[in-house]
Amino acid sequence: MKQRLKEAYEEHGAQLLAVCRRYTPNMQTAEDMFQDGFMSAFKAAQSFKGTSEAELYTWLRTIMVNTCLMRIRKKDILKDAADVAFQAEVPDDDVGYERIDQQTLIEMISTLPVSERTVLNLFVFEDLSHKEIAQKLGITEKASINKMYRAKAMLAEKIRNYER
Amino acid sequence: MNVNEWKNKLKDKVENGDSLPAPGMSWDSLEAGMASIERRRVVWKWTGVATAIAAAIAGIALVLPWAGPQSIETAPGIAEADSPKTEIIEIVKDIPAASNLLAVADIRPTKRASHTNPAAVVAEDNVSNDIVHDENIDEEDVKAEQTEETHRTESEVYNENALWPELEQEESIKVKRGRLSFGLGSGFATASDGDLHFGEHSYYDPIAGVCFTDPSTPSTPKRSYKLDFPVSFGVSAKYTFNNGLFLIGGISATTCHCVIFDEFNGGQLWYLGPSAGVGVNFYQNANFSAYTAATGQLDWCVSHYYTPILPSANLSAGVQFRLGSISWLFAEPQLKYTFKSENSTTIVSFDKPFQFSVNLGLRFEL
Repeated sequence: MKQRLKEAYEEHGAQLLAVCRRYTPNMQTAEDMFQDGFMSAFKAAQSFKGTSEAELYTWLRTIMVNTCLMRIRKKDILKDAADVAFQAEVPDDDVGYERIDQQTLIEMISTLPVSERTVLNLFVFEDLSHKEIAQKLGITEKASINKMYRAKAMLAEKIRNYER
Repeated sequence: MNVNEWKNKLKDKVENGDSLPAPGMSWDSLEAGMASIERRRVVWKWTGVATAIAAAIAGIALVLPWAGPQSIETAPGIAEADSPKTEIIEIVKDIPAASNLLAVADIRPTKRASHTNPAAVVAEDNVSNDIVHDENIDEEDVKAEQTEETHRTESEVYNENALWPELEQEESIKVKRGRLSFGLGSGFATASDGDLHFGEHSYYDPIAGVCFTDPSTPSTPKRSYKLDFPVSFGVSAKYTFNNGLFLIGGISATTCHCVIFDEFNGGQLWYLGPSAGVGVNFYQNANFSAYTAATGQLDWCVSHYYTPILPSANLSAGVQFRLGSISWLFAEPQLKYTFKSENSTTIVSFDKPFQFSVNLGLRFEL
């Protein structure tokens, strides 16, 4: 299994690090999460029953996300996730994601407020529903929806500012 | 633009680009970290085992020297006959020069005992008669001395009692009930593994080992889990009544590593829970007591605050050994049963509701 992990590291290391990067604005913290994720994978290696490379990547990716969420929970940042009404304007047109390079976009996502960033990551990249996000983070479903829209609006604002 | 459209655009841009930086650390450094994890896991496991064994050996070593007739629950007459007072008489009896004095003084303990216990009088009379017989003391001399003794005043008898202050004190130390004590300890519980069965329309959190599920759906999907040795740390207060019954309450923190196999990794869980209950000392002497207790506990997973509160019932049988004037060492095997809550949450504790643990610690008596 160690050999397979090594191959996955060489093949998908950059993508897995990018997953961690989206959850924190600090590159050093992202690398710590990445390392912790691989350690967790090593600890739970005996439980992995998949055979294909794609399955291994999916498994590692899930581990990375959970490692990032554990860090966030430890700091209890989301505990104050109040069910506040969304005030910002929700962009309903093309905000120009395709005009921004990948690195910059990841950096923009990582610099969103922690609760908005976490909800956006889970909703967009992990394909979780708001109900699932609410249960995972200990917030209400309505708060999850509000935070996702706020994150979307903030991201659009960042892109507008970047393009000026 | 609908939700899915912008979501897919963003996802596609972020995940399918090719400008991602490679990780800063090398595979070799990661591998070194993995080796240290393995070492640390082994060290922790064996440290726990060694601590438990050392505590058990220490407990046995502490109780062995005290395995004498020190019970405060024995019959009053026997207790008096076995008292240190009698032992001193036996020692003094062997000293020739002191024997004659003792032959005179034998009335003193007899008199002291006469208003406490008839059985003790008989026991100590036998001692004095033996002395008289062994030393062939003239019967008339003894009678004269006894007559002289009977003329002693009450105040003189009172002063004699003052000759045995250390004995009075020792007797008072024997009774250590009706006291408040505080405990500081830790517990080592059994590791467990098994399968969690989830409903089809369920969501589960692999880190906390928690599943939010609809009980009406078939329980076909399942995940295997492993719960490493949970370790607890706690403080408690115990009040013991004169009849041996006691009330005990406290708070403990429990931590363990939970791994859900197949798809997910694990996480470190921390539980915090108050407990309260009653118990009884079924054997007790000055340096040792054995007891049993039944307590109720509420555990709350503080590392994952959305998990339910877990009520449990604990049954324990413990022993404690005196270490010093106020300190005791206790060892307490415990069986814990976690009740399944009525809500639709499944947790690893419900799969194996029984858990065995051994608690070790110190108690300080006020």
